[in-house]
Amino acid sequence: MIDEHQDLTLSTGKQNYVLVADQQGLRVLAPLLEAIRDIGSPYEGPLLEEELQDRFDHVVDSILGRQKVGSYLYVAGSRRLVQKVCRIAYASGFTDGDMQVKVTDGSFRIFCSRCYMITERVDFSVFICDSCGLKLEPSTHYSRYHDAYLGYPVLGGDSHA
Amino acid sequence: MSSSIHEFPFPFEENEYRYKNNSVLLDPPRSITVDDRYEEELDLKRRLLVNHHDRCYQSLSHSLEAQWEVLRLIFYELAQYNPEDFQLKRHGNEWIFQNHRLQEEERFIFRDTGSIELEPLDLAGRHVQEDLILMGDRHGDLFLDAGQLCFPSNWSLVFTLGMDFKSIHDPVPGIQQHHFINKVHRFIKRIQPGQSWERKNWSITIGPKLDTHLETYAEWGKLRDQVTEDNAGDKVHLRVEVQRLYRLPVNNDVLFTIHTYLLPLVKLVTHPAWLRQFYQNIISLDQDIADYKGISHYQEAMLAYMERWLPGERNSQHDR
Repeated sequence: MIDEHQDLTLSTGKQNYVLVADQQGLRVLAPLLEAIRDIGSPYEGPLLEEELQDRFDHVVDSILGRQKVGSYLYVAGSRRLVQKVCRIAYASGFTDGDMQVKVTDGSFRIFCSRCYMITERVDFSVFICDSCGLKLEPSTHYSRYHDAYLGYPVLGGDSHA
Repeated sequence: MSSSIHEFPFPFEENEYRYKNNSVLLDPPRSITVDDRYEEELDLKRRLLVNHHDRCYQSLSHSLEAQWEVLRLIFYELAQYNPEDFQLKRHGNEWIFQNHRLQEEERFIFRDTGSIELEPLDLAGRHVQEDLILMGDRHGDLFLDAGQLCFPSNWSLVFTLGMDFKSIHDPVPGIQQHHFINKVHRFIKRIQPGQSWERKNWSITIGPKLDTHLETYAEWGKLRDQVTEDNAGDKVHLRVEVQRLYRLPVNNDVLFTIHTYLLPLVKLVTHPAWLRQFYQNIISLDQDIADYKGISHYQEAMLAYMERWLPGERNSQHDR
């Protein structure tokens, strides 16, 4: 499973590196970019969301789509950006072993176990689902497919168990 | 729901519960069983599928080929082992499956999705009591690619769709200890094409309820707080899942079937050997597992109920 909270590290011996970020994520990528330059490996990017604006999805799709086996992807930025780039990457044939990601905005997506609504939260405290009114306790059970943590029902102050 | 104690797959072999891969190789390789609750359970299953289809059926588009292989396996197996109830006729690619138990017939062109109204896994699942989960084997891992899940023990198919094997089991307490989950993962990866393995898993359900989806926990979860020593015999049910793993020879994916059985405590106490072994497992259960299985709410009530048939048992437990 891909770990979005771990610090990014240089994965050596790759044919090419692709770096994608937003302004905040660029700070995270900066030391990595320096390390890639130091080893003299080819790379593309950083592709910046703020610079590319409306063309961002198309450019990322195009660049990832023409990568060959042995390419490696780094993504850093908001959860929304990381999720979007990962979807493009998977569709282009990248696997979890071909990339590292870092979420920088600290928000979490919680999946309602009754109505499936996903709610953005900044912490793991109990909350009420806006869609169905169920009291939910965020868990650490994570789905990469939904990019969300499971929210368990809370009954009368007692958790699901 | 009628539950015959003679057909019940009692799951305990020891007096203390611990994680164990107690799988046995089946010869011949079977993935399903038809029993006397067939009509009753199929009726419930189909009502759930009609009223809550998203909750009970999910699939990823790339699973379609493997789904056809599952359909072939299920229809062949029904016809081969229960020929008086099911028949399968083939005229080239045109298949006719007859279900005499339900007085139904399915006609379709094999591997032509335009010839059936449902996806193949969804169609096959409507003729068996088992829940059917299709695990795609790729990139060195197993992924939940599709499933028909009507009788889950408190989990959500919608949430787990697309999830890898180890992530699915993340919430199970202590499963990482001694690399247990890694060993099970390795075991499944090594299942040979055409082989079928069976194991039993257990939990407790309050009331004779098969469809305990996580989505409806708010409705049935509260029943856990209503168990008393006096009503435990009728309310507490030992829930056993007979789980089978079958490696699909053509697609190399794994079909995971779950046949769920319920036995009320009032019937279990009539089998003295089972009662004693079940009692010993419940009283010695680790707290985190009791919490995870939801037993903590009524553990004391059900123990007290069982002690009516096991006088002095608690004291002898303490003396050990």
